[in-house]
Amino acid sequence: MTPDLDNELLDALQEQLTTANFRGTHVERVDLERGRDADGNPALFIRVTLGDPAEGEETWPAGDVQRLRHLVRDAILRLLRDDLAWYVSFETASATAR
Amino acid sequence: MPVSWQIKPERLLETARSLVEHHTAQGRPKQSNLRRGVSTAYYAVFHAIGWAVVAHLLPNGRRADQFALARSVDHPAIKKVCGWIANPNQAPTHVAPLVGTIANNAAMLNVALVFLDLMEARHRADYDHAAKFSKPTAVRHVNDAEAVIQSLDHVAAGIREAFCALIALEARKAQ
Repeated sequence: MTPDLDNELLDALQEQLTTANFRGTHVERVDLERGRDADGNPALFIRVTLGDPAEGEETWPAGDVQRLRHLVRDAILRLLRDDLAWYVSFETASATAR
Repeated sequence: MPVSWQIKPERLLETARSLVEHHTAQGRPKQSNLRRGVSTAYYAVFHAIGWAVVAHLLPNGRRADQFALARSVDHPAIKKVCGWIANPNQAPTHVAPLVGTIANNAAMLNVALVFLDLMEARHRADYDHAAKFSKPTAVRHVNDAEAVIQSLDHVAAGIREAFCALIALEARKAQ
């Protein structure tokens, strides 16, 4: 049952995040992984892979990241059925390719 | 204890920024600097929240008492409260209205989400040998930490007080 629910959440996140209109940030992909958090408790990790920051910028615009974070939360509150801790992180493609 | 010994969040933030923006002679950031920068950004936020709690509970106390109170604000208590704000449906009934009020404030919702993100990132930075930090991500963490510290200063007093009250209650449970 959990994989189906995770797939539903993943589909929703990919739909929302990759189609949202941002000026300086492009969402390349979204990954979900169930694991343990820093305290050893079960948790859902949402990893959002972003395109490189705009030329001359060291990172992505703060407003874009905040909006992405809030979009992820909206989807989680709507679709995550279990009372699980969840964490969203944003990375570049180069850092997630390992 | 001299006042100058206070751990100042803004100083930690400066240190974090200098670490993540430091380049080697080859123009590349060092993983060790990015890791320490992320970890330091987390502690800047942690201490900013601790001092917000002190300012709420003991604004006119002796400096030594304020330091002792700040020391009693622990990581799990902040994490618990931030988790409730991120997921208001998981908050206990008796605090649910307060949590809902905080969660409806976009700036404080961001404080909670950034804290949770930074706490996990700090753990990876300090302990996970396989973790790899990119410069954009490390700089983002420092920017997030700076935004959180500014939010704590500028958010409406009633919202900040609600946040600090919940943390104080949770910290008390853990003693």
